[in-house]
Amino acid sequence: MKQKAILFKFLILSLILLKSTCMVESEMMDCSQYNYAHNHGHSINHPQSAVLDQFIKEKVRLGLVGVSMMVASPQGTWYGAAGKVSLECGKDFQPSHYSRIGSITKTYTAVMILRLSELGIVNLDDSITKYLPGRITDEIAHASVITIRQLLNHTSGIYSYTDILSFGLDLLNNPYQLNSEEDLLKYISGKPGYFLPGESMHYSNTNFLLLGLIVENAYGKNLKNAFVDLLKTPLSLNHTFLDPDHMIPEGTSQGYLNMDSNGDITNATDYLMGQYADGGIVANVFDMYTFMNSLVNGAILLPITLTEMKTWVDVEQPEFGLTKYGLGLRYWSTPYGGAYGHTGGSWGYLAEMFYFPDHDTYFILLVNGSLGKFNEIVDFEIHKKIPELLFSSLVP
Amino acid sequence: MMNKGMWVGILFTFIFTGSVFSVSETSEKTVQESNEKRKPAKLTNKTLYIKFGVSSFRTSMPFGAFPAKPVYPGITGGVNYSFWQKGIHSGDTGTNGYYIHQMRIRRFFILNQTIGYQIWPLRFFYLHCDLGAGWMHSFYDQPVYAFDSGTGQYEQKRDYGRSYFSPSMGLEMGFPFKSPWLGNPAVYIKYETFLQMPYSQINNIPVIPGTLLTLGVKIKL
Repeated sequence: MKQKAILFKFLILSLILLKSTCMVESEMMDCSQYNYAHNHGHSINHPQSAVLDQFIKEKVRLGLVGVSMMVASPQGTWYGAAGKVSLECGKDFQPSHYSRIGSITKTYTAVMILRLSELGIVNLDDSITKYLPGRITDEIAHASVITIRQLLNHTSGIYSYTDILSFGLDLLNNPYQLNSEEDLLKYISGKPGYFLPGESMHYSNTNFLLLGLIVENAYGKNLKNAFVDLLKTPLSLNHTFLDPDHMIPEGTSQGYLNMDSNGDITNATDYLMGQYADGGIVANVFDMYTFMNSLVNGAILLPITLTEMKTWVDVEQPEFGLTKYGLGLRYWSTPYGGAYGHTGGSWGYLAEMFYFPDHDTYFILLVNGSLGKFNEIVDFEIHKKIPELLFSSLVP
Repeated sequence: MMNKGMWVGILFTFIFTGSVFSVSETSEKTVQESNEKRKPAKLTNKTLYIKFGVSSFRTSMPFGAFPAKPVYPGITGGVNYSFWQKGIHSGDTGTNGYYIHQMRIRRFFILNQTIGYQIWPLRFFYLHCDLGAGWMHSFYDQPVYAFDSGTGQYEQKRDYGRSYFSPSMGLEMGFPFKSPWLGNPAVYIKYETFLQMPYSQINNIPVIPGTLLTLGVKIKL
C-alpha cells in the first residue's frame, strides 16, 4: 500500500501546483484603451443600412465575438459594428476600433513594391538576387531565376514557411515568440520548392516576407518606416499600423481562437504569427476603405500599374470563389460579378477587403476571432452571402 | 465532449494501472526474500521501484532538440514493476503520472501505462526503452469563454479541461548506486515523446506531438 500512498501524495502535490498556476492575467488588461473614437468623415446614408445592421447582429448571435463592417457604393455608405471588442473588458466593438488584417497586408506590401517600381527603384522582372543578400538567396531554391513579379503573384514556387510542420509545432509550443524574418526563412532553408519558378501558382507567405526584405533593401529603410513614407503619410492612414517589433498597438481588439469542438474560445491577441510584410498590419475599416479607394481611383498608383496588378493567374485550388491571383490581389468570382482585394486571417482575427468594379462597391470586414466556428461563420455566413445581400436587389 | 478515442485512453490507463497495483502487492514477498538473501542491490531484480523527477516539455516532433526555450517545467512520478529477468535483460511495466505547465498556454496531466525493456551494457548503467498509452487532461492557462445561446453572448466559464488519448515512447539511461540506507537509488535521464489525439477536430488537426526530458531518481521499494 506504500506506493499507493506515495502516488496519492504526488497527485495532491500536482493539484496544489495546478491551483498555484491558475493566475488570470487578463484581469490586468487596461480597458480604457478602447475608449477612443475619431472623426472618420463618413456618415451612414446607405439605403440598406437597416438590413446591414441586422446582418452583422445575426452573425454575433451565431457566435462571432465581434465584427466591424463597412460598405460604400454609389447608393450610399454604411458602417457598423456588433459584439465585443474585448470579452475581458466587456466593451462593445465600435467601427473605429482596430483589428489585425492578416494577409490583406499583402496588398499593402504589393503596393509598396509597385510604388518603388514606378519610382524606378526596383524592376518587377529583375531576379530577387539583385535586391537580397546571398545569405538569404543561397538558401532558396532557384533564387537566381525568381523575379519580384513571381513573388507578387505566388508563381515563384518558394515554400511557404507556414506549410512547414516544425513551424506549426514551434508556434504551438510558444505562440508568443517574436521571430525575425531570417528566423522564419530558416524553416524553408534548402527546401526544393513546390515547382520550378513560373510553372504554376502556390500561395506562399514566404513570397511576401521576401518582398518586405526587398522593400527594406531597395528603399534603404526598415519596413515600418518605408510603410510610413510610401503609404501611411501620403494616404493619411492615421489608424493603420505596421510595426513588426510591436505588432499590436493599444486599442486593438482582442482576438480569440476556437480550437475546441465544444466551442470554447481563448484569447490569442498576443500570438505572434505573420507580423511582417505578409500579415502584420493593424487597421480599422475606415482606413482600409481609404486605402482601397485610393488604389482603385489612382491616388497611390498609376492606372497602368493597377492594370498590371490585375494580371491574373489561376489559383491552384480555388475556394469560396477566390479563383485568381494578381500582384498582391485576389480575384473573387461571384454570381453578381467579380471583385478584387484580399482576404486575411491570423490567429485570433479574420478580415476581408474587396472592391466590386461592376457595382463600384467596397466591402470591408474585420472579425476578432479565427479558426473553428469563426472561420465557418465568416466563410459561409458572410463571404458567401454578402454579394447576394448587396446586389440581388440591383439585378434587373 | 469526449469521443471514443479519449474513452479508450482513459479505460486503458485505469485497467492497466489496476493490474500493476495488484501485481505490486503480490511482489512484496519477492522483495522481502530478496532483502533476506542480502543480494547486492541491482535494479534488474524482479521487484518494484518508485521514481520521481523534474521535466522540461516541448511541443515538437519526436526527438525534438533540448534544451528548449522557454523551459516548460513539469514533475513526474510513477512506479515500475520488473516482471521478468534473464541475465542482463529484463522486462517491466510502469505506471506514470506527469504534470506539465506551459505558461500562458496550458497545464496538463498525463497518466499512462508503459511496457518496457531494460539492458545493462555495463555494470554501472542501464538502458531502458518503453512504449506506453494513457490519458492526457489539459486545461487552458488563461480564461476560457463559452457562447451562451440564450443571451447570444460569450461568458467566462470554469475550465474543466479536455481529455485526449496519449500514446508514448521513452528512452531512458540510469546510473544506480549502492546505498541500502537510501533504498539503492538510481539517477536516470529519460527522453519521452507523447502524442495528443485528437487535438482539434474542428480544425482538422488530428494529432500533435510533444517531447519531455526528465531527470529523476528511481528507488527500490
